Amino acid sequence: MEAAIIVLGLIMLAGAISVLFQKSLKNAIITFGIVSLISALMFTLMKAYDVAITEASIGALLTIALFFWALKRLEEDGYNEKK
Amino acid sequence: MKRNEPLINLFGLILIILLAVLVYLALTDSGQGLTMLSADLEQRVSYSYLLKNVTAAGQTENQHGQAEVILGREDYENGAVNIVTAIVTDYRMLDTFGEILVLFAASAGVGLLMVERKRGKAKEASEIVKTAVPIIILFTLITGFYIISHGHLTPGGGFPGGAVIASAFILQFLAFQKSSRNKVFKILESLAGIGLLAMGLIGLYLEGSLFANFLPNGSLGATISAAGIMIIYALIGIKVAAELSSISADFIGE
Repeated sequence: MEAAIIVLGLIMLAGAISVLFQKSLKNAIITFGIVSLISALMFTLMKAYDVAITEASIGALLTIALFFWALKRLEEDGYNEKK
Repeated sequence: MKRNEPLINLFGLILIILLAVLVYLALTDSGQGLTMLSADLEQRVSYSYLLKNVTAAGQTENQHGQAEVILGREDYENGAVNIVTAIVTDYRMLDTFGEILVLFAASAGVGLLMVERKRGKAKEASEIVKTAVPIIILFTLITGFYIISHGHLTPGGGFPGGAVIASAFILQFLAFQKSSRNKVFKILESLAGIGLLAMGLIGLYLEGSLFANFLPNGSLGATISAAGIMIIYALIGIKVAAELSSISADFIGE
């Protein structure tokens, strides 16, 4: 179990760092959602079920949806992602 | 679109692994079903939630020398088996009230700053999403209500349950691009906030301190026990769900 936690933690670390270097904002948001999902799994493995529920619903759904809606509003105002 | 494909595949793979691990954990759970009174409590997480150790009176010691609370005890402290719930909604309720005020401030700020305007044309969701989302929403709502109503027994409570219910509404917004019930959310939110304050003030009037527990507790571990905590958690759940839903409705716009 400890090995699984270490591997998942390393994946989370790599994901969190790669968010900074993504070229496209959409990709960065999706990667951020993956990091949130893995952290929910980590909370489950560590038997913190109430935190895991909150993380899964707020971190992996609500935050991502809010980011995408904010991005949509920006694009309506003429913001364009540099390719 | 093609550039995102590996990322989407990775996302799907991780989702499947997550589900597989959850199924494995559920299958290998050492508990004996869902009944609180017949399970081998020492093998379960809730055992550590059982060791309420706030007042020394009324506790016995088990073989490890730890304080132990006996299930089925009548009218014990605030009646919650879950120690986290006992702290959050009774011993430190004023802090929780502050947290709720913070969330209210966030929701009010979003409502104030988001200028109302016409939405641009959005891409319609695919047929699969439109068909699956109503079914998923049903199960999500049931899970949310379960988490809220069993807050005094199992991990979870008002905040996680409210967030789960709000995520059901957000799924609906995502699939059908509609957010017409914003006014209902705001009214529900203010009613729940007034109810919470009223609970605090009644406690102050009857017991002499803000948010004091004044309702009967019932027997420890029963499904319907700790009436005060159940009411407070129901109000918190309604408030959190309405706040998060109204934030996302403000983001979507008219």
